[in-house]
Amino acid sequence: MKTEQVTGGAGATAARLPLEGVRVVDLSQGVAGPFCARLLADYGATAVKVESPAGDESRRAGPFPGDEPDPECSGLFLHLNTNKRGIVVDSRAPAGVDVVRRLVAAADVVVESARPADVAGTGLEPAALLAGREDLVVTSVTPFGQDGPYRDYRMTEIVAFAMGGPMNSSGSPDREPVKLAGNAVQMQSGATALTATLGALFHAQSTGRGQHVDVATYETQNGSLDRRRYYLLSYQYSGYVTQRAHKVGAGRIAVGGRFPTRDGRMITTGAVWPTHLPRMVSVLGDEELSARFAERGEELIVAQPELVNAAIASWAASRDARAAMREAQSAGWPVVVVNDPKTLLTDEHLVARGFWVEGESPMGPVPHTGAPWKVDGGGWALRAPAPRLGQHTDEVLRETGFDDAAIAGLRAEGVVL
Amino acid sequence: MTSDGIGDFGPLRGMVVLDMTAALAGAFSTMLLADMGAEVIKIESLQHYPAPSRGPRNPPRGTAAGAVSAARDYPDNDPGEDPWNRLSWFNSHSRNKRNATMDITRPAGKELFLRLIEKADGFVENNAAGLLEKLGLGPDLLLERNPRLIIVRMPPLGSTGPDANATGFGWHFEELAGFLEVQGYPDGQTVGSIFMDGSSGPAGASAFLMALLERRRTGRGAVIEVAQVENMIVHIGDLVMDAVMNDRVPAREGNRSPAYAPQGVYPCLEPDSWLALSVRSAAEWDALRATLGDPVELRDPALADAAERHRRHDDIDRVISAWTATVTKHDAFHALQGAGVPAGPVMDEADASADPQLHERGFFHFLEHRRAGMHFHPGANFRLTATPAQIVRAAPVVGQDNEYVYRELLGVDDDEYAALARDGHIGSEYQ
Repeated sequence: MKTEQVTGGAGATAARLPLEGVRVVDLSQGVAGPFCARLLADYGATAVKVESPAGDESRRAGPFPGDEPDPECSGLFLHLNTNKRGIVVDSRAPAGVDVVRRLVAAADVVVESARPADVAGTGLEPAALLAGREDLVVTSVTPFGQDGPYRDYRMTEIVAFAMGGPMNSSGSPDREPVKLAGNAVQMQSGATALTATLGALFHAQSTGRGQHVDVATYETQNGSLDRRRYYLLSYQYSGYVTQRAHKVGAGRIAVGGRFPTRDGRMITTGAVWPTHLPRMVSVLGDEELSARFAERGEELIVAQPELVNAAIASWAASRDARAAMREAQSAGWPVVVVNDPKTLLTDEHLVARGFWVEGESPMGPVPHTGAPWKVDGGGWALRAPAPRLGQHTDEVLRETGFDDAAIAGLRAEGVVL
Repeated sequence: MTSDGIGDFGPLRGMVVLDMTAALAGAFSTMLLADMGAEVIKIESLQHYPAPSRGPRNPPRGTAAGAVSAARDYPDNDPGEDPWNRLSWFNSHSRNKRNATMDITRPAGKELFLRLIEKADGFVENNAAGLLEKLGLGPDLLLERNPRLIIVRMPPLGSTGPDANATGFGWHFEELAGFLEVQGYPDGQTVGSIFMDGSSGPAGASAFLMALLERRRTGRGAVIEVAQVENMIVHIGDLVMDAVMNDRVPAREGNRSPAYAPQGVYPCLEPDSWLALSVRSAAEWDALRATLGDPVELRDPALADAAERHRRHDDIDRVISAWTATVTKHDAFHALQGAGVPAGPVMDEADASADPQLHERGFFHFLEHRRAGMHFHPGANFRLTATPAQIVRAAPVVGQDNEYVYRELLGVDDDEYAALARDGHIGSEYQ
């Protein structure tokens, strides 16, 4: 695998990154807030992640090596917190609140995810963080937002998709609705929070005026274009309510779908559209199919789906997946290889593009996902692995103006770890 | 800017972004920018009907299944005389945007486009890799005409690599991104997802904003590439970590979670009504049991341990389902949330449209569209408290802003305007 060797620590890349100089304090936990802060850091911001003594809840979520829970090895935490330094502060103690407020005093952006009820009156609620800091951007990424009747309700990935996304139409009509893979919904919420944060940061840099950015995962999903936003307007237009309309496996179409290939992989044709039909018939080169297609045209799909599927299956079985994809694609028939999270790591296209980046981890150097987008061909770097719990507490406190005696005192009182 | 309010609010007040997007992904990016106050101008050609954006030119009508399914996207189920102006698919993301027409495949249209590029801060496109180059509008030329321009390109697989030119629909790219193999029913049925456009939208908008921040310092524009499949893979980075750490394909868990138990959707009192919930801690477990009326089957203290709840997940599910079958999904939602359990109803469009949280937060906006009428539209996906989004105008019909774009932005006089209309650049009907 072609990877770029990146070791922990700053300065691994010479080129200037777009957000260099932006200072982020990440008070959030879970998925959405940390993903937002991670993306800021990926593109050059310096980020300090503040955890409670119990650690970010994603440390307990896994996946873990060997399925053995270990807060330093959670795949979710490691993915969401690269490029950050970590400090542990118990903000239930007044001295802890003071530490956090001093960190925030040196920040341009704060990302937080607390339930409004949990921080009200603590000195760490968004209004208190903004007080006296006219240029600060505070981004709250919470389940339902800062106000409204659900503001203190809780959310997990499945609840986010159930309430905000098109879960009602995901799955088979004869079965229960089913969620999306992993934590994709909450990450999309974090990505939306990034957009909003950058807009507020641009305003702050242009005018000197910061603000509170209120991102509700619930609204990021109801407003997402894939596809609740569109469905909501369709409902306004015609009263149409989406359903789990297509039996899984049968699909919307009689022909096409996944087919095994010679190398033990799979390809998928997706739906075969009328425009693709002649191209498909020509690629398959099956005499009987060609003759029937010449007679019956598009109608063949409905009339004899088993004939078409058999021809695709036999064609696929005599080829390797990637070769089948390229043969079909070069003829204008959209066929692709089926990937999974493991085959992605050796996917020829991704590897040739240098998408995977090797980075340090508690398991040693391992491949990490690369840049979600590139600015002038770069702009993104994996500079440091996710922090161990409290890994940078002393270093960050010293930079924030605490002397060694003060740090020792805070440690003795259990205010920092 | 004109008096309609477009581009007259928010952090991007005064920014002009040209939009040559297709279907949803790029259009979602420009919608997010328009909601921050950028003046987004979608450019269309009357000579090239944009079916991926504006739907079928002659939608099937009548009572056949295909026609009924298509009609849902038009007001009162009626595509009307100009279905392209009445399509929810397009109108849902085009409020707050402008629309102008020019045929950029002809030299005169190309020059008009380049004149607009000179006035622009951004340009967003999500066409097949290499389309701009084929049109003779590659990034080098655009940057030559406007060195401050920020170009956002969103080819699904990027512009380099052996499969950069591969085409397909969302389904294909979600298979390439490894999504479908890890979602769906655990007993082997994969389920199609619709996620890529949703993840690409914020990516394109964020990339533009980063380059804009950089431009403040350097004075220079940038060329951005959002390879949509790669961005989507970052959204399942935790599952990739599982593959990396354990050399395996992560299990397809359906609605269950490797971390939380119980987790699932449970059938409620009314037909096809479901409640989703997760239990993340012993405290939430106790709250769930209390809400269910302390069922005897769940009293075993060993169940305070998540690993034990994972082992007996099926048994626990039966007890939860017995309770949910007696309550509505909304009653179950409020009862469980009130007790501290993350839970929520599986909501459809009718539920969302009546939801008190969305209404109290001002999520919906009542807008009148010239050819579709008055309807509630979803608003901004975020709240910038000091520079709030304003949802000022419904989606434009084809060419609605030609007068403004040609006369005010480009300074075209009456004679030239008439000539451009004669030549089919300016107009409001596809040819």
